Amino acid sequence: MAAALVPLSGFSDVNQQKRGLIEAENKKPGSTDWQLTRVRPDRDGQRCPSIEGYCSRQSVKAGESIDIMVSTDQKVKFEIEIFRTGYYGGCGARLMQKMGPYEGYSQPVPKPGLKSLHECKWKPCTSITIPDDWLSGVYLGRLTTLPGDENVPYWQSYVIFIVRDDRPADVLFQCSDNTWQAFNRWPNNYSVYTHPKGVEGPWADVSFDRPYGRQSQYTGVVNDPLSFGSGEFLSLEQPLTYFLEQHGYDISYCSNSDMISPERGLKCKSFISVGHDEYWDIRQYNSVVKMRDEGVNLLFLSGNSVCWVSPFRANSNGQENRIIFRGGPYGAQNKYAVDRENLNGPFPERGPDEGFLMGVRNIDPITGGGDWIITKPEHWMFKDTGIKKGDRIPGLIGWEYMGEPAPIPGLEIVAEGTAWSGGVKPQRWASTIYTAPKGNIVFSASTIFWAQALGMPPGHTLPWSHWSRPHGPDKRVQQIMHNLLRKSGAS
Amino acid sequence: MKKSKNKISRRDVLKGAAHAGLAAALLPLSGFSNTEQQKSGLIVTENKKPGTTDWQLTFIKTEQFRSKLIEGYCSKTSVRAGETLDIFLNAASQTDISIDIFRMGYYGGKGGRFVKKLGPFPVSPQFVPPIAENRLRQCDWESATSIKIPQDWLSGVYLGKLSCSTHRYESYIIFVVRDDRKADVMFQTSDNTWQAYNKWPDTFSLYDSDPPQQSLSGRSWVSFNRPYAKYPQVVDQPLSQGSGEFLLWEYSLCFWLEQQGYDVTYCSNIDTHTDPAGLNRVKCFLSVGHDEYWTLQMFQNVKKAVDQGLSAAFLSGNSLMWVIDLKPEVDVDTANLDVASGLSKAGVGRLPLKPDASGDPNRTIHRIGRFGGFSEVEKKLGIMGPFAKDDWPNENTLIGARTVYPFNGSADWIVSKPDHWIFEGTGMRKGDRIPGLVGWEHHGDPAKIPGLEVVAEGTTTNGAEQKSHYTATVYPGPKGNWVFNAATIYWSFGLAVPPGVITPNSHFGRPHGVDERVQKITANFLKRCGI
Repeated sequence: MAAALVPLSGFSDVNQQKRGLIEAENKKPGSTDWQLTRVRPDRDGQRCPSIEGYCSRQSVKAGESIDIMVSTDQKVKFEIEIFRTGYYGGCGARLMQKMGPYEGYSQPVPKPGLKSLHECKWKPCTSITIPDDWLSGVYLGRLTTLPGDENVPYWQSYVIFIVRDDRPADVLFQCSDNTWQAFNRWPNNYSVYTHPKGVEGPWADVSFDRPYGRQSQYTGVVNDPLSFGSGEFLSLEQPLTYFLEQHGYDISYCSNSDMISPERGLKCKSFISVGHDEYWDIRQYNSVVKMRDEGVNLLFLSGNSVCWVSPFRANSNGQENRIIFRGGPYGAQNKYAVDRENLNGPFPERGPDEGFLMGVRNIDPITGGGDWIITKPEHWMFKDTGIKKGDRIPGLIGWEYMGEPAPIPGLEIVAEGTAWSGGVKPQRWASTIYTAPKGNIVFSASTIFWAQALGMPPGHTLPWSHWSRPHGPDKRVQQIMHNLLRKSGAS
Repeated sequence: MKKSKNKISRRDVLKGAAHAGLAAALLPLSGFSNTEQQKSGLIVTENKKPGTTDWQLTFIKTEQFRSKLIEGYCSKTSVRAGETLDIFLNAASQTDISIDIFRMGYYGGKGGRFVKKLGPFPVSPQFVPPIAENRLRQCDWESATSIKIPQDWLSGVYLGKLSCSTHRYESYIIFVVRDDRKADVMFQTSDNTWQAYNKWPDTFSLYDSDPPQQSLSGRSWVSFNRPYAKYPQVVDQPLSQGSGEFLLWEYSLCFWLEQQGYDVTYCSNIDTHTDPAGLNRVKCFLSVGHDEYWTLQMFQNVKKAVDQGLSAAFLSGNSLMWVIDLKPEVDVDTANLDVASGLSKAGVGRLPLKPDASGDPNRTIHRIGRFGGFSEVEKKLGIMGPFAKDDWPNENTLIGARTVYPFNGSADWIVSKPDHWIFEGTGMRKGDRIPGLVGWEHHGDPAKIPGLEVVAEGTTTNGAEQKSHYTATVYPGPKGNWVFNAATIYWSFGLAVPPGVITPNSHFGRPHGVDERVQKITANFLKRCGI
């Protein structure tokens, strides 16, 4: 059935037509009223029991259906507004559908299971069959209580899902939802970092069958109230979506979980890892290696990427890819991998040296802030930027990055410098680019904050961490991005 | 102490020079015989100059609100071209500090223009002042430099970005360049309020007090002679380090006005106090953001100007709640100062203030009353006052509405009178909402002024789920002039979100940023004022 209902978009389009998809979509009327207005966290600050929810899958195709589960701590009516995020004349999103009102009621917080697992088994309030004309994108469902009395405040939070497709797009944008979930502390203290046996061990399982709590590091990295229910998409990824759609790039979206086989990626000219992309199942790794070897350009517009192996597992209903845990470090026999094993292990898995994929590696310390400093201004990626050697993009490095470039023939360090962890401990980071055998490129920006320099969507909050902050959109970084995308076959 | 005395005499010399007619002789070029066209061209021309987003700080180290590694303050809140501003700097260890001066505006969306680099200046660690009577902390630092404002520095809000040779951390100083030209719009910065909330060095705002005294009294005093600490409340904004609350609630309005090319001139709260004639230079006066602390003189000056035909827009919330006394720099009796520690000698208590303050004027503030007197519910709270006098004029006779209890909360801004001219062209209907625009403080209880209309109103809810009622109002002045009260600190967020600005989130609510309807309402009002 899914095959029969693949959106119009995907088939025999020439480049021109494909590119037109995003352009045409973004000409539709947007609204800035996709933002949350009233959010009430509970005492622990991580969740908003007034209204919260989650989706039955990370991503869904047109023609397929997705369930939305919602809980309200009081009996109250609520509605769901579905928005597609993009550019839309600067508004940042478009209202696709308004659903409800529904009768809200309280659904139970699960008792911690084996390895602290919190798997909710809430009743769905609705099931959406994705219409054929819902273009691939990141979709927010805004949940709003309807108290029915002007003097009683309404409360809101989000659910989030990705609509994916199979069209041969220029750019495949992979959301870092494994990492959103790894850091998700919902209901209060249950991420892969909070197990009593150790903060970086294999001890905790986390489930996608639960709401996304508030950005878990909101007191130390970015305090973004819009993160209630939306993972880390809005703070670390949306500025890139906004920029790419503003410029009409032919972009399609997927979840980390869509990369366990390479088929989706092999249909695209380039693949983007964005923001904080720390947790990969080893099958994702193998997929992306295969894609590179087959000629797909790889853009790691991210930091701390491919740091930990996070094997996917089915939930208690047998639905695939709904539980992850920290299965072991990437890094083969590199010192940092061995050190982490010794400190936090034993782990069941050990990933290969991520440096041979990305060009750079995870290093210790991995946190900190700094300027992004250009070392190779003559490189084609800096064309038309006016950049000179030593020029800086202020505060763009952070709050995590990569370094120690791998010995890949032809690899070039295009930017490098020092980041300060906690404001005091210096660390060398490096941004690299290399050409893969089929002439395709692999670029690592080497910073979680890269997207901050590309776009500033409405409601966006700039991060401030390790006593350092990026400045927001920068024409030079935008031009670098155009250069990289054009070289990657995007028009 | 010797150092301090030397410094004072040096500054006295500078002050003497400024007072000896220098200022008068050097009035800026800008103000004289410009035609309408040329005047409005000033802002347009200025904003065509190249901007930069590099006015933003990158590395900010905040310790207990304070940036002790690098910090500073200015000798005046505002200064004219031709006048001299002293800049006082401090660092944790001997270093060389440079000051990059930026004028804030639109500048093609970059938001600031680099104007001049000062220094580097050698700076050695300065004394954190001892706690004087009334908890006053008044710095007495060496002047690192003095700058005579050049003639071509257009009136505006200027940030000085401090950086140094020994570490990468930065912070700001801030000052207003004012002029005397006729202009359409007067943008008043709310620097009394910035200072009232300034906790520098850690717990010394007007909201900190000596227990068991209640904090909302007259017993705490604050001085302008100190750096602005990082803003401690409803938005976590590292760029507030040294810049007061300008970048929180005021800059967005400045950015938008200059983007639109309005002929705007700037002043400080202090200018509204000292220069009533200055109000007659403009068509519309703007109270911006959080404008809680006024002297009685300020109230009287603006009230009189409105009676004589000045229009006013209170694009602000919680405005004119407290009456303050504005004193000169005080003289601290240092007989019992322990020089080594910088504190009072053991067992002595707070250093007393000498009765005759003789320093720079208008540098010390404290509360002396509540505009309009305390309401019954405020009296019952038992957390405010006491004050010697309670019969102060009601602020709603100027604003159109006033601060009501509960003072804070969040709400949508809901249109109640869509047929009012202020909504012309917005397409708004009764009950339409600007999401989250009301916060984190507001105005209600509209005054009985003939012709006053409530254009928007609704219920706010605060963090403790207490409810309050806000009213946005418009009333006609006697000379065809108008007074608008937006009734929210957040109004400017609906106009623009410049680089680096962070949307606040408080009392479980937040505004959404730019909204064409808010822009249109503001433009409609200014147009009605003949602009």
